[in-house]
Amino acid sequence: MKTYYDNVLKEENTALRFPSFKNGDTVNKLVARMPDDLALGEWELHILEDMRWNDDQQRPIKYWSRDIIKSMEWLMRQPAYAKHCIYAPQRCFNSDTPPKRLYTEMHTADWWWQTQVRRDTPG
Amino acid sequence: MGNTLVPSMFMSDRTHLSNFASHKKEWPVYMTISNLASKIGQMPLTHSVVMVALLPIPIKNRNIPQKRLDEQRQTNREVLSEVLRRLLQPLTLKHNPSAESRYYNVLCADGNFRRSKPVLAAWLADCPEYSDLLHLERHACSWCECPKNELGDYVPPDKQHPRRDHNL
Repeated sequence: MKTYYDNVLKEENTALRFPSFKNGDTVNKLVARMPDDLALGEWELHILEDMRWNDDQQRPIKYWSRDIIKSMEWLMRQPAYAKHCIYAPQRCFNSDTPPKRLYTEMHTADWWWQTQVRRDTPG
Repeated sequence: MGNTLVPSMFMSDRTHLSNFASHKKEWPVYMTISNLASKIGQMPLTHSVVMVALLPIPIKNRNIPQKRLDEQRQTNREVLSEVLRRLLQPLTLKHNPSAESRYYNVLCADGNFRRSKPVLAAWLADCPEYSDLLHLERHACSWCECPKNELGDYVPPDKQHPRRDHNL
Protein backbone atom coordinates (compact mmCIF):
# COMPACT_ATOMS: atom_id res chain seq x y z
CA MET A 1 0.00 0.00 0.00
CA LYS A 2 1.39 3.37 -0.94
CA THR A 3 1.32 6.16 1.58
CA TYR A 4 1.85 9.88 1.37
CA TYR A 5 5.45 9.56 2.57
CA ASP A 6 6.28 7.07 -0.14
CA ASN A 7 5.11 9.49 -2.80
CA VAL A 8 7.03 12.41 -1.28
CA LEU A 9 10.25 10.49 -0.93
CA LYS A 10 9.99 9.20 -4.47
CA GLU A 11 9.39 12.63 -5.91
CA GLU A 12 12.19 14.33 -4.00
CA ASN A 13 14.87 11.67 -4.43
CA THR A 14 14.64 9.68 -7.62
CA ALA A 15 18.09 8.15 -7.23
CA LEU A 16 17.69 6.93 -3.65
CA ARG A 17 15.65 3.93 -2.60
CA PHE A 18 13.74 4.29 0.64
CA PRO A 19 11.88 1.55 2.46
CA SER A 20 8.14 1.75 2.35
CA PHE A 21 6.72 3.47 5.40
CA LYS A 22 3.52 2.35 7.02
CA ASN A 23 2.57 5.74 8.37
CA GLY A 24 3.98 9.11 9.34
CA ASP A 25 4.78 7.95 12.84
CA THR A 26 7.38 5.52 11.53
CA VAL A 27 9.11 8.36 9.71
CA ASN A 28 9.09 10.51 12.82
CA LYS A 29 10.61 7.69 14.83
CA LEU A 30 13.37 7.27 12.28
CA VAL A 31 14.06 11.01 12.32
CA ALA A 32 14.20 10.97 16.10
CA ARG A 33 16.81 8.23 16.00
CA MET A 34 19.13 10.31 13.82
CA PRO A 35 22.47 10.74 15.59
CA ASP A 36 22.79 14.49 15.07
CA ASP A 37 20.99 15.52 18.23
CA LEU A 38 22.90 13.05 20.32
CA ALA A 39 26.14 14.19 18.78
CA LEU A 40 25.67 17.58 20.35
CA GLY A 41 25.99 15.97 23.74
CA GLU A 42 23.00 14.91 25.76
CA TRP A 43 21.65 17.12 28.48
CA GLU A 44 22.94 15.91 31.81
CA LEU A 45 21.55 16.75 35.20
CA HIS A 46 24.33 17.57 37.61
CA ILE A 47 23.77 17.66 41.33
CA LEU A 48 26.11 19.44 43.71
CA GLU A 49 25.91 16.94 46.53
CA ASP A 50 27.91 18.78 49.15
CA MET A 51 26.45 22.26 48.63
CA ARG A 52 23.21 23.80 49.87
CA TRP A 53 21.83 27.30 49.38
CA ASN A 54 21.50 27.64 53.15
CA ASP A 55 20.64 25.60 56.21
CA ASP A 56 16.88 25.89 55.70
CA GLN A 57 17.03 24.43 52.21
CA GLN A 58 17.89 20.76 52.36
CA ARG A 59 17.44 20.09 48.66
CA PRO A 60 20.71 19.71 46.74
CA ILE A 61 21.57 22.23 44.06
CA LYS A 62 20.95 21.02 40.53
CA TYR A 63 21.88 22.35 37.14
CA TRP A 64 21.72 21.12 33.56
CA SER A 65 24.60 21.11 31.15
CA ARG A 66 26.00 19.35 28.14
CA ASP A 67 29.54 18.49 27.11
CA ILE A 68 31.19 21.60 25.64
CA ILE A 69 33.83 19.53 23.82
CA LYS A 70 31.10 17.61 21.99
CA SER A 71 29.37 20.87 21.15
CA MET A 72 32.64 22.23 19.80
CA GLU A 73 33.13 19.14 17.64
CA TRP A 74 29.57 19.40 16.36
CA LEU A 75 30.08 23.04 15.39
CA MET A 76 33.39 22.29 13.71
CA ARG A 77 32.11 19.52 11.46
CA GLN A 78 28.93 21.15 10.15
CA PRO A 79 29.21 21.16 6.35
CA ALA A 80 26.99 24.24 6.17
CA TYR A 81 29.75 26.38 7.68
CA ALA A 82 32.52 24.98 5.47
CA LYS A 83 32.96 28.14 3.40
CA HIS A 84 33.12 30.38 6.46
CA CYS A 85 35.39 28.34 8.71
CA ILE A 86 38.82 29.66 9.61
CA TYR A 87 41.60 27.50 10.93
CA ALA A 88 44.57 29.86 10.97
CA PRO A 89 45.14 33.54 11.75
CA GLN A 90 45.72 36.05 8.99
CA ARG A 91 47.31 39.45 8.75
CA CYS A 92 45.32 41.62 6.36
CA PHE A 93 46.67 44.78 4.74
CA ASN A 94 45.04 47.32 2.50
CA SER A 95 46.43 48.58 -0.79
CA ASP A 96 47.95 51.82 0.51
CA THR A 97 51.69 52.49 0.34
CA PRO A 98 52.93 51.77 2.94
CA PRO A 99 50.19 49.18 3.60
CA LYS A 100 48.07 49.59 6.69
CA ARG A 101 46.93 46.76 8.86
CA LEU A 102 43.22 45.89 8.64
CA TYR A 103 41.40 44.52 11.65
CA THR A 104 37.98 43.04 10.97
CA GLU A 105 37.28 39.50 12.14
CA MET A 106 38.79 37.78 15.14
CA HIS A 107 41.39 35.93 13.10
CA THR A 108 42.82 39.16 11.67
CA ALA A 109 43.79 40.48 15.10
CA ASP A 110 46.95 39.77 17.05
CA TRP A 111 45.60 37.53 19.81
CA TRP A 112 44.94 34.51 17.61
CA TRP A 113 48.32 34.86 15.90
CA GLN A 114 50.20 35.02 19.17
CA THR A 115 48.29 32.13 20.75
CA GLN A 116 48.32 29.68 17.86
CA VAL A 117 51.88 30.31 16.73
CA ARG A 118 53.10 30.08 20.29
CA ARG A 119 51.27 26.80 20.88
CA ASP A 120 52.30 25.24 17.56
CA THR A 121 56.01 25.75 18.00
CA PRO A 122 57.46 23.36 20.59
CA GLY A 123 59.14 24.94 23.56
CA MET B 1 46.40 17.12 9.26
CA GLY B 2 46.97 20.55 10.64
CA ASN B 3 46.61 22.33 13.88
CA THR B 4 44.04 24.88 14.74
CA LEU B 5 42.97 26.96 17.66
CA VAL B 6 39.30 26.87 18.60
CA PRO B 7 38.45 30.04 20.50
CA SER B 8 35.17 29.36 22.28
CA MET B 9 32.83 32.23 22.95
CA PHE B 10 30.25 31.98 25.69
CA MET B 11 27.19 34.10 26.27
CA SER B 12 24.97 34.19 29.30
CA ASP B 13 22.08 36.23 30.57
CA ARG B 14 19.44 35.81 33.21
CA THR B 15 16.04 35.51 31.57
CA HIS B 16 12.83 36.44 33.29
CA LEU B 17 10.15 33.90 32.43
CA SER B 18 6.97 34.60 34.34
CA ASN B 19 5.56 37.31 36.54
CA PHE B 20 3.12 35.53 38.84
CA ALA B 21 4.00 31.85 38.78
CA SER B 22 6.67 32.28 41.46
CA HIS B 23 8.71 34.62 39.23
CA LYS B 24 10.48 31.89 37.35
CA LYS B 25 13.88 32.64 35.92
CA GLU B 26 16.33 30.78 33.76
CA TRP B 27 20.03 31.37 33.42
CA PRO B 28 21.18 29.88 30.13
CA VAL B 29 24.74 29.77 28.85
CA TYR B 30 25.28 29.70 25.10
CA MET B 31 28.39 28.74 23.24
CA THR B 32 29.79 29.31 19.78
CA ILE B 33 33.23 29.09 18.22
CA SER B 34 35.09 31.99 16.69
CA ASN B 35 36.32 29.92 13.76
CA LEU B 36 33.03 30.74 12.11
CA ALA B 37 32.83 34.13 10.46
CA SER B 38 30.91 36.64 12.49
CA LYS B 39 28.28 37.01 9.78
CA ILE B 40 27.37 33.36 10.36
CA GLY B 41 27.15 33.85 14.09
CA GLN B 42 24.88 36.83 13.64
CA MET B 43 22.27 34.87 11.67
CA PRO B 44 19.96 32.96 14.00
CA LEU B 45 18.86 30.50 11.33
CA THR B 46 22.37 29.15 10.87
CA HIS B 47 22.10 27.62 14.37
CA SER B 48 25.72 28.33 15.13
CA VAL B 49 25.04 29.13 18.79
CA VAL B 50 24.47 26.16 21.05
CA MET B 51 22.96 26.22 24.50
CA VAL B 52 25.31 24.35 26.79
CA ALA B 53 24.06 24.89 30.32
CA LEU B 54 21.32 26.14 32.59
CA LEU B 55 22.87 27.59 35.71
CA PRO B 56 21.14 27.29 39.08
CA ILE B 57 19.18 30.34 40.20
CA PRO B 58 19.90 31.39 43.79
CA ILE B 59 16.96 31.61 46.16
CA LYS B 60 15.46 35.02 46.66
CA ASN B 61 17.10 37.41 49.06
CA ARG B 62 13.87 38.72 50.50
CA ASN B 63 13.26 35.44 52.34
CA ILE B 64 16.50 35.86 54.23
CA PRO B 65 17.07 37.91 57.38
CA GLN B 66 19.20 40.99 56.94
CA LYS B 67 22.02 39.77 59.15
CA ARG B 68 22.49 36.60 57.14
CA LEU B 69 22.48 38.37 53.79
CA ASP B 70 26.25 38.64 53.43
CA GLU B 71 26.65 34.99 54.30
CA GLN B 72 24.01 34.03 51.73
CA ARG B 73 25.70 36.10 49.03
CA GLN B 74 28.98 34.39 49.77
CA THR B 75 27.29 30.99 49.37
CA ASN B 76 25.74 32.07 46.07
CA ARG B 77 29.15 33.14 44.80
CA GLU B 78 30.71 29.84 45.79
CA VAL B 79 27.96 27.83 44.09
CA LEU B 80 28.26 29.84 40.87
CA SER B 81 32.05 29.44 40.82
CA GLU B 82 31.76 25.72 41.41
CA VAL B 83 29.21 25.26 38.62
CA LEU B 84 31.21 27.32 36.13
CA ARG B 85 34.37 25.48 37.06
CA ARG B 86 32.71 22.14 36.41
CA LEU B 87 31.16 23.35 33.17
CA LEU B 88 34.38 24.81 31.77
CA GLN B 89 36.62 22.10 33.12
CA PRO B 90 38.20 21.19 29.74
CA LEU B 91 39.15 24.81 29.16
CA THR B 92 40.39 26.06 32.50
CA LEU B 93 44.10 25.77 33.06
CA LYS B 94 44.49 26.96 36.61
CA HIS B 95 42.61 24.15 38.33
CA ASN B 96 43.18 21.59 35.62
CA PRO B 97 46.83 21.68 34.48
CA SER B 98 46.43 18.61 32.28
CA ALA B 99 44.18 20.66 29.98
CA GLU B 100 47.20 22.71 28.90
CA SER B 101 48.65 19.84 26.84
CA ARG B 102 45.31 18.34 25.83
CA TYR B 103 44.48 18.33 22.14
CA TYR B 104 41.43 16.97 20.36
CA ASN B 105 41.32 15.41 16.92
CA VAL B 106 38.30 17.05 15.39
CA LEU B 107 36.70 16.41 12.02
CA CYS B 108 36.43 19.80 10.34
CA ALA B 109 33.86 20.98 7.83
CA ASP B 110 36.21 20.56 4.87
CA GLY B 111 36.60 16.84 5.57
CA ASN B 112 40.03 16.93 7.20
CA PHE B 113 40.95 16.09 10.75
CA ARG B 114 42.72 18.82 12.67
CA ARG B 115 44.46 18.78 16.00
CA SER B 116 42.37 21.32 17.87
CA LYS B 117 43.04 23.26 20.99
CA PRO B 118 39.92 24.75 22.54
CA VAL B 119 40.50 28.02 24.35
CA LEU B 120 38.12 30.13 26.37
CA ALA B 121 38.30 33.34 24.36
CA ALA B 122 35.39 35.57 25.27
CA TRP B 123 32.37 35.79 27.48
CA LEU B 124 29.65 38.07 26.15
CA ALA B 125 27.25 39.50 28.68
CA ASP B 126 25.70 42.78 29.71
CA CYS B 127 26.86 44.90 32.62
CA PRO B 128 24.68 43.44 35.43
CA GLU B 129 25.48 39.97 34.18
CA TYR B 130 29.21 40.66 34.35
CA SER B 131 28.87 41.88 37.89
CA ASP B 132 27.01 38.67 38.75
CA LEU B 133 29.56 36.43 37.08
CA LEU B 134 32.62 38.20 38.43
CA HIS B 135 31.09 38.82 41.88
CA LEU B 136 31.36 42.60 41.65
CA GLU B 137 29.06 45.21 43.03
CA ARG B 138 26.63 46.78 40.61
CA HIS B 139 27.88 49.25 37.98
CA ALA B 140 31.51 48.43 38.67
CA CYS B 141 33.93 48.11 35.78
CA SER B 142 34.42 44.47 34.88
CA TRP B 143 37.69 45.11 33.07
CA CYS B 144 39.87 47.02 35.52
CA GLU B 145 39.80 48.02 39.16
CA CYS B 146 38.60 51.53 38.46
CA PRO B 147 36.68 53.12 41.35
CA LYS B 148 33.06 53.87 40.61
CA ASN B 149 33.36 57.67 40.83
CA GLU B 150 36.22 57.70 38.32
CA LEU B 151 34.38 55.78 35.59
CA GLY B 152 34.71 57.57 32.27
CA ASP B 153 37.60 59.79 33.34
CA TYR B 154 40.68 60.05 31.19
CA VAL B 155 43.57 57.96 32.50
CA PRO B 156 47.06 58.41 31.07
CA PRO B 157 48.48 55.17 29.66
CA ASP B 158 51.14 54.87 32.34
CA LYS B 159 48.64 55.20 35.20
CA GLN B 160 46.11 52.57 34.15
CA HIS B 161 44.17 50.81 36.83
CA PRO B 162 45.23 47.20 37.39
CA ARG B 163 43.33 44.62 35.34
CA ARG B 164 41.00 42.21 37.05
CA ASP B 165 41.97 38.55 37.14
CA HIS B 166 39.33 36.63 35.18
CA ASN B 167 40.80 33.17 35.67
CA LEU B 168 38.42 30.63 37.03
